[in-house]
Amino acid sequence: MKSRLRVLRAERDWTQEELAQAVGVSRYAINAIETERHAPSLDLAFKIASIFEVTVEEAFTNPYGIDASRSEVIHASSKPKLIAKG
Amino acid sequence: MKLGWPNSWRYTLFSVGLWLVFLVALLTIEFALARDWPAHIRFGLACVPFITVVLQFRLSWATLMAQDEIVRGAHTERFFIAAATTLIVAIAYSTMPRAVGAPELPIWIVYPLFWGVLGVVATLRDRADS
Repeated sequence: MKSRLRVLRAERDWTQEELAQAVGVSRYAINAIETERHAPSLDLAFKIASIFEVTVEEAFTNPYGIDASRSEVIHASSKPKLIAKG
Repeated sequence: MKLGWPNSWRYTLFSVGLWLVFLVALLTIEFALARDWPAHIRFGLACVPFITVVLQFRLSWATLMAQDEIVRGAHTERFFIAAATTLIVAIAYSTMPRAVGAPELPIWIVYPLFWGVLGVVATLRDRADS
C-alpha cells in the first residue's frame, strides 16, 4: 500500500525511530510500511494518521479509489423490501 | 532492513537453558541405556526432550505475541516456510531407509533441523528485504 509517511516524516523532521516510538511499533514496521513491503492494519493506519494529525487517506493512498458505480450497485441491491402482513 | 529476532534477554536465557536440557537429556538416555537404568527412570528421561520443545515453542509464541503486527507477521511467514520445509524434508527422508537402505535417523532430529532451516530462511529473507 502506498503511503506518504516518508514525506510526512520529512515535513516534521522525524526519524523512523522517533515515529516508531510515537506509534508504539518497531522501526522495522515503519520501514516495512514506507517501502510497501507490508500494509498496516486499520488500527495502525489510524494510529499513524493521528500522530501526524491527518486523515488516514492523507497518510495512505486508497488502492481501490472511490468507485461510485459500485456503490450504486450495492445500494440498489440492499433496498428494504416491503413485506405484506396479514 | 534486517528483521532479526526480538532482543529479549529472557528469551535468550531460557532458550539456551532449554537447549542444554534437551541435549543433556539425549546424552543421558544413551548413558542410561548403556548402564541399564530402570525403565521408569528411562521413561522419565525420554519425556524431558519433548517437554523442552513444548516450553521453547511456548516461549517463542509469547515473544512473538509481544511484538507489533508487522514484525509478528514477518516472523510468522518465516516460521511457516521453515515448518513446511522441515516437514517436506522429514517426510521425503522417512521412506528412504526402507526403500533404498538409507541410514535410520532419530525423529528428534526434526527439531534442530527446524531451527536450522528457520535460520537459513531468516537469512535469505533478510537479504531479499535489504
